[in-house]
Amino acid sequence: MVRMMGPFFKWAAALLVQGLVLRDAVWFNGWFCPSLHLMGLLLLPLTLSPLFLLIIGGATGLLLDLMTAGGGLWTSSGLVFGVSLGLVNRLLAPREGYEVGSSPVVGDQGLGWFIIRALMLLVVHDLWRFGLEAGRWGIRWQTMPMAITSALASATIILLIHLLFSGNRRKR
Amino acid sequence: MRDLFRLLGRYHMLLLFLVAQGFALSWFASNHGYPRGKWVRMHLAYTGAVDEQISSLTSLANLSEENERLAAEVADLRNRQASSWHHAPAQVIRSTVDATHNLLVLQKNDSSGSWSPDQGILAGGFAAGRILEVEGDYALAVPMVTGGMEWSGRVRRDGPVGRIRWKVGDPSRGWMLDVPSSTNVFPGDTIFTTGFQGVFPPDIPIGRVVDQQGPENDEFATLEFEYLVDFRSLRYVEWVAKPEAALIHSLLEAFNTMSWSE
Repeated sequence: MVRMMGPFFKWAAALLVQGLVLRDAVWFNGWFCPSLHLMGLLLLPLTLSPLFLLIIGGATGLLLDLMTAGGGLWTSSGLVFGVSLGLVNRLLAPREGYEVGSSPVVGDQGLGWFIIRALMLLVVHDLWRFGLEAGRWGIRWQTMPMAITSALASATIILLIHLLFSGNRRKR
Repeated sequence: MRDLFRLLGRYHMLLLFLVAQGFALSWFASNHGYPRGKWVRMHLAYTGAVDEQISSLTSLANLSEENERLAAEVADLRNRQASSWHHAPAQVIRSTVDATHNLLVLQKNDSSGSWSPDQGILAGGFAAGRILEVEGDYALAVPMVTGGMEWSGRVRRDGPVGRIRWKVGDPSRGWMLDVPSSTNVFPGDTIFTTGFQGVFPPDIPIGRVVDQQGPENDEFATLEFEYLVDFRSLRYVEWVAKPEAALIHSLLEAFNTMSWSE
């Protein structure tokens, strides 16, 4: 039961960190705006249905919007992330499909798989989010490089945190 | 009908995504000034295309920029006058006039200085409202046409002072109370701000008298007047601030803390 609920605890923890600690984090003059809550979504089981991923992606954004007064920005981005998550999972799936109980972790899927998947999803998410947010200032295209660097930095941090906390599992 | 359900079943993911995204984007647009304006402009552009009037809409968009520029210029000119008040332009991004308690949401430019509660709002040089709360470049304000608020006014520049209230339900009319009956007031006389509340500079026009009410033998009369601001079409306004407001406030605080011997 605990093993089954583990990813959801991680999801809640990542969401709380983003919503309570990193809520207004804009570093390096906007070149890095972390999206740590997406780590929780990235670590959800691979066998979840695309519909569930869409709903939990939207719910994650909605909760974050409520915590940070984001006014729909995170909900919209979360929905894009949720729908992309289902598509990318299918795109990167082995021919025979994922094994029952397989997790999207480095130990199970490999470092390359984890990085490529995280990068693809984070870039899509941040391009949407930055485009939406910057659109109101009419500088949408100028912020696209910032979206890419933010996605790269978020992916790096998510990978480091994941490797740090999954050390025991890998040794086992 | 069965085919429709089958179609909905097949594309349920896409439909759910589009519906949820629609809610999220409309939430985003209603919370942020730029997307809201953008949405309105997109809607205008669409209608314009249907009506083959795109060119006139483009000129309208240019007019909007021109209006913003002129509003900034007017504020700048007022600042250069001898007045000790600071004037700066702002745009009304949300307003109500049909409720009992109406509101205005204003957005200013980054560069126009910092605003704070209890500063006045002018529209076309006429008194229009007062700021209640500010958050960055956005401010929540109440227009003069809101119930339960009183303002200070003067009949003509040299006349007596009275209390001003909105005639609830009519966004074009207000009352001026406690005007001594001995004062000669005629329809068309202008009502000005007194400056006593610290919200507006003195002698800013508020409205024009249209009627005098109350029995003739009463000590005080009530004037009905018409606001000079058209609150239904507010768009470009100015906010006014007195740089020495903090000093005046500290003097008033000193007065309030004085102990008085009976």
